[in-house]
Amino acid sequence: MSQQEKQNPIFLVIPGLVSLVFALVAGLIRLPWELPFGNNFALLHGPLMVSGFLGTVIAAERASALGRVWAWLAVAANGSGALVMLAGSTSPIAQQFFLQAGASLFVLGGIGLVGIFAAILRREPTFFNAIMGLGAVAYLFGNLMLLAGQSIPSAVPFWSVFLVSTIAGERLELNRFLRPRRGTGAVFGLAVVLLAAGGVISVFDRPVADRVMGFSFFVLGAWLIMNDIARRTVRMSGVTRYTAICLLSGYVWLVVSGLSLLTNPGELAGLRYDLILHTLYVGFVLTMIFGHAPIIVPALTGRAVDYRGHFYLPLILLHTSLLLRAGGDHFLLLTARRWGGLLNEVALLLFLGVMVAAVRRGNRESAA
Amino acid sequence: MSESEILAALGTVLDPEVGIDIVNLGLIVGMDVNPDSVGVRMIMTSVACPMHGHLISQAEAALRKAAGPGVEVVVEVVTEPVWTPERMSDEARKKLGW
Repeated sequence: MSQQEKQNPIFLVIPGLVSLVFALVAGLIRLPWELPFGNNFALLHGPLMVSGFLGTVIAAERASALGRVWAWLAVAANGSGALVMLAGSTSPIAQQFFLQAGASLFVLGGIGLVGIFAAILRREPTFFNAIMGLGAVAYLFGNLMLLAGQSIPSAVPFWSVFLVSTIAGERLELNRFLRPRRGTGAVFGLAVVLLAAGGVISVFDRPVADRVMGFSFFVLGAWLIMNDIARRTVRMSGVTRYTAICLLSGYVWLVVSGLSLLTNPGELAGLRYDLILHTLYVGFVLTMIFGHAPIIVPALTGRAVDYRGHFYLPLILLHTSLLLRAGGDHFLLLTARRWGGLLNEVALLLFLGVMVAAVRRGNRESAA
Repeated sequence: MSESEILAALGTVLDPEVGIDIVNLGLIVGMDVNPDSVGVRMIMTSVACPMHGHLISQAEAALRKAAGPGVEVVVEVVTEPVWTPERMSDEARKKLGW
């Protein structure tokens, strides 16, 4: 274990994982499945998933890269924001206060993430870091919408810009390993400009913003399918190939999400809204997490992940269940949506189980 | 340890995302070899990459295994020179379709 890995206060990620568990329960209720508990925080599904869970793990990834103790404050703020919101959900009287307090912590987490990227950009002023920095700014804006008392769907375009920019910027960084191809940079740049514009326009005119962002998702997804390094690494073996397959399949969902935005602009509730959101957040974002976990877990914790072929099982279940869910959303079949959504969660839990087992095996082997 | 033994040991450390080892990616920028110690300087492709610590510990483990007991091993990340694609070996470029 290197010095840096020892210094990572990785326990700060735990509130993010707690947030994920509650977000999954909330998600089940929203599908809808009847549960004996959880109704009081069912509306928090989005903030818990994006700011509580993804905000925490993405901030941890960047804090680890930067290697500065202060950067971990962003991790702590995002995770504790989720815990505060959940604490408030137990009391109807104090709920509003706790929601505001939680949103304030998410805003602090956003400021921290922007600060991390400002520090990264000062050291390495590149286009790909600027795109990831743009994502951090969008994250801050999304959380500010919550703090300002706006509805959760108002925060969603900013959160989407956050996640798409963060991932796109990373892919652009890795694209430097490939031979540069004329014109591809300009197309990518244009798609990112549209992405950011979509976020801004969403404040004034949601249907127009959805069309602009949908087009951007479509172009970025197609660009990644055609130009990403995964096109090469998918021909390699083991974990490298597994990661590439996760990525390429996730890009297909980004294209699908773009198309669903283009064909359903301005939707803020209902099955078509579910289609827009979860093709992006489950199809694109979660497959990126499935693909990168075997790389990021060792980087954050110093613990080896023992890759096996059965890593593909949760991925296959995720894609098939999302097909069922998206089909249900598109054709307005509630039962397909409910079961698809439930199986999405089973896929995620299966993935977590597979990862925990892989870490245990990895450490037994390195200790032997 | 000779320089070629050091490079052979480091050549077992892969960047898992790219599937190519840190020597062929051009991340090794210097080494100090003494009878009782080995120092290696490496660069990263980007400061935003969270894999620094893990690649260092993997490189140190590979060197320790090759050097055997009694040899001190230190791998240090430096910020100069900045990584560019030209630093990759012909073998790495071929794998990546250059």
